[in-house]
Amino acid sequence: MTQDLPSSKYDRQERLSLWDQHIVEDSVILIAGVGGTGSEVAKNLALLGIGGLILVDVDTIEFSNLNRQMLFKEEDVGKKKVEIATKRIRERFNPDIKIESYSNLLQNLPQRIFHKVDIIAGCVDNFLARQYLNAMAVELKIPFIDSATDGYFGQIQYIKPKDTACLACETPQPPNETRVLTAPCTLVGVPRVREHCAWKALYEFSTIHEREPIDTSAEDIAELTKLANNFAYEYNFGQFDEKQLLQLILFHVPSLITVNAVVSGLQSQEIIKSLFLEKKDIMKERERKILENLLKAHRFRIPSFIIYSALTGTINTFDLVPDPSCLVCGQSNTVVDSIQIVTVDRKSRFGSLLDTIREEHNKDYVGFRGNLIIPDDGIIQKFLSDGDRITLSSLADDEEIRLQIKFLN
Amino acid sequence: MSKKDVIWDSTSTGKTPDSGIEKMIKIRFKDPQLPPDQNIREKYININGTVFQAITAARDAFNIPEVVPIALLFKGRRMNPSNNLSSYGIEQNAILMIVPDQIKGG
Repeated sequence: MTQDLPSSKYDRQERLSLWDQHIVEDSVILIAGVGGTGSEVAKNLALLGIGGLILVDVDTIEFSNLNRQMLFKEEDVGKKKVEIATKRIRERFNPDIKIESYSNLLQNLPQRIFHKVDIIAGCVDNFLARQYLNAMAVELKIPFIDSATDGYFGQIQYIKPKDTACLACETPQPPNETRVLTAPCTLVGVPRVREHCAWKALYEFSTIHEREPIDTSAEDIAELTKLANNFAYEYNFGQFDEKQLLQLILFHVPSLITVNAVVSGLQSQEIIKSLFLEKKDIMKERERKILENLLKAHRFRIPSFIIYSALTGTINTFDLVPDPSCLVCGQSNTVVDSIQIVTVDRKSRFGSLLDTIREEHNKDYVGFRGNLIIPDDGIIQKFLSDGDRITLSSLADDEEIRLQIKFLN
Repeated sequence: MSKKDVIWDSTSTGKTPDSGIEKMIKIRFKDPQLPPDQNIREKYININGTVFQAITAARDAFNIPEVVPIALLFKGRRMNPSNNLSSYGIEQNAILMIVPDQIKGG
């Protein structure tokens, strides 16, 4: 009887022409965001037999996640998403998969993590994280497949740095709730608009409690509102009520499991296709020839933009053209070029680096890693790793300097 | 509604405050979410106007409510709402594709 069993768990997909399971098993995908879409993508890739996953998500599991994020159970509420996701993927879908997990903000992820990645899968829930991933993908020339959903709609964008449009091409306007975000130093400086008071309050809350507020906690929301209103009073802005603050700070996009499933399925498929394309030269000869013939006949392509509407049941694809003047991927490369590499002694204090910059620019700066302030008197290696990116923000005029830290040997 | 509605102000003096001289051209908006025989509508728009004005015309052509964020693509380029239409080299009968905008959940 056992002789009749297929030799591989992946037998059915290995029967497909073009499919090269070795390519799948030798690849590592970074999934940014393990929520509605990200947990589905992780499940799909694990079942397809991907070699490694790097999961990044700073969030903890909320009760309202449970109707669509199938990696999580009720008993997991309050626990870190990436930890539970790692455990469940190994238990239920693929015990052989290598998984690294980081419960960090993307902006705090050391650059060396990106170096081992074949493709970045963007499954994040906000504009700023998406733009950060985009800049990293363009800078490191890693293919980036981003997905986004909003209620009945979803989209997937394929970014092949320098070949296709990136997320910053034509600088699409940030959504309303992120427009109020300014330079990080606004969080510690003087608010210029009323909304800054709310962001300062969020920052203050996170500093006091070393966690984000929970939107279902009446105590947290009351405290957050009080903090925001203290700032609003101090700087002569109107007061907030709790509902306004919730909408402003803890904006949650409507979400449907069916849309998440369709979008994550499309995204996972494009990830596999992109792997085959990127690793064409090391594919088995037969599969490579099939791929080359399909490419020649225009029967294999990765559209740069896919849109799904659950209301009309339509999936439309477009090829987006890069904007030559794009600040991220265009000829000027303003954003990528603006990152300076500084070599530092890991045992020195951060203040000594700041002093050099302050002297050079004749301004006072505060150092940020993500949204965390780096203390002046802190020993560098305690707060930063080799390859980390930091932002220095001028207290006088919000001017920002972006640095990449390189440790002296 | 007629397919060839003209979007301009009949009391116009021929100039708009932000874009100078009005020069109306016929363009075609395409909404790929609709069936192929219904997904193109023609409008006259001011080529010296902004992309934002074209988005308003697209909404009007397809009765898309304000609460649904949309963007326009021209020859595969996402159009920045603040830019002038003329900066994209749009000519008579150009097709501007309507796509959803500000989709950002995950």
